[in-house]
Amino acid sequence: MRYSFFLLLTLSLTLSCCENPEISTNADDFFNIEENNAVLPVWIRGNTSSGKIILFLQGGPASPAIDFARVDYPGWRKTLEKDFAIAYFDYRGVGNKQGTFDLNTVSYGQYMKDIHKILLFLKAKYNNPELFILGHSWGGYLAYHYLLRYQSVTSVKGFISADGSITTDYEAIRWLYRKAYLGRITTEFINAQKDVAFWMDVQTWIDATDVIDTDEEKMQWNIYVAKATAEADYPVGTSDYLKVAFFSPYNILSYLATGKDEVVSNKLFEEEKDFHILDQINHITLPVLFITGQYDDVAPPEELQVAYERIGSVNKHFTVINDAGHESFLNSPIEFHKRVVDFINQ
Amino acid sequence: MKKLGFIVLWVLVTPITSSGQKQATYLKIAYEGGMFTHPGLSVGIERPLGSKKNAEGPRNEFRWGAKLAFYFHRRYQTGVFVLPGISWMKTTSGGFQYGVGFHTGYLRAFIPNTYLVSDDGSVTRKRFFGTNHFVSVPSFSLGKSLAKKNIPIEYFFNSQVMIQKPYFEGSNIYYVFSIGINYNFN
Repeated sequence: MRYSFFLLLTLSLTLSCCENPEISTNADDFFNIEENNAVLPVWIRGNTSSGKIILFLQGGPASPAIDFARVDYPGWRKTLEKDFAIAYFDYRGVGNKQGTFDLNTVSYGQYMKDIHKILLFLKAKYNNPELFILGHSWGGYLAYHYLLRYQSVTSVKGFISADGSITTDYEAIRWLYRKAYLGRITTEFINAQKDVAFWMDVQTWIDATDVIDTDEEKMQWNIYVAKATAEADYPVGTSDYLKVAFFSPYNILSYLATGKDEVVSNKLFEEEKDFHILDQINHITLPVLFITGQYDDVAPPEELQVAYERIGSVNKHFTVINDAGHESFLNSPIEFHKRVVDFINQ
Repeated sequence: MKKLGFIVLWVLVTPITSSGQKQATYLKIAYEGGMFTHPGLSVGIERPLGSKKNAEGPRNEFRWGAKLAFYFHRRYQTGVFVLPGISWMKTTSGGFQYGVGFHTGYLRAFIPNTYLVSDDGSVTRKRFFGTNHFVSVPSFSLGKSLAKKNIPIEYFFNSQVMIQKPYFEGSNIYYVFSIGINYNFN
């Protein structure tokens, strides 16, 4: 019995140590990268033989990406992962939260360093692939920071900002774009003769509100845009919960029961008070693709249009996907896929 | 490492050697499933506290003992732990058993496939990388004693919540389900 126990234990430790990078059309590799006392889980899936790997930066802040990948929330297993490989990872303080780090290391600076180390790892382990960043929502915002700091040393070939806003809640300019967004969709709905009475009320409110500034005004804006926002909820089913809880690299209780994600996001939000990234993106010169949805109220086209105009890249593209909301990859998966593939293969 | 080996030996051997009386002494062998599906194994020793009688008939009893166990969660961690502790068990006249327990001990969490990346881009694998934790484990169990049929075996299902410290901003929780037997070798 004693020998069986130690034999099985040795076998377990051996099995858990023997994953190697796989160059194939259907790779499924999982690694942990230790950086400044945090252990960051990285899951590489898809077509590594393409020689192109997309590092996915999850939104949030503090939303995990490993469960997102496990249930294939964006549906990329049958689309983007056929063309390229995608590396999903959890930020420090998110998901399993392994290591001996503390909250003091949760910062934009450290997050950027974590991203950089993961990119270096992918480059070293997958025969020097072409690397791209796809940042969704807050992940897009983080990517602007990363590129500003690491552009001169990173091997990233291009950046896809998918519904990634460029402003924060602390910046008054955000609400200028949001007001413009509400004005545009109001006109569109009135012209299309949809809920005319409602949208006429909205128009009256817009005319009477010079600047959206107070909490009440922001709340009112949210109520109005909610009427237009194209929600594309992923139908999370029982099987998804079962997959994540029992058949994933997750310790689901660590994520659900410990409730620290809010601590992490608050720490990052606090740092954003001093950020005005829109004033700096003229320094970003990498090829970039901006994607947003016609009804994306988080990263509205009005805001990303300005980012597109100001970014320093020569090779830049701006796409608004019709009838899409903040998760354009769910609203219009075919168009999203085509835009990303065209950009990466150009 | 030597110290750890000594502690393991001590917690496993003490319950056996602590009494020369003919007292029930159980060898515990169980499947330990991290979140049910991530397999593991445990081996332990347990014996009643205070009672000098053999294990037959309805009774309430406290037991103390220790186990050495591991679970294998391939891409999360392989946990190896030593848990001394105490449990309370009620056995009905029909042999049905239920009880609660509290164990506390040491967990070494081996994190698989861990790499260190230097600033210049070189990558080094950190073999057997892991973290150390103090763990507290409340548990609940259901089982059946076959002593009435003159079979010196109990089988049981045990539900354990492993609370690990230190951990990011507090403690980590991991669920371990076990199913196994107690073999009374006295």
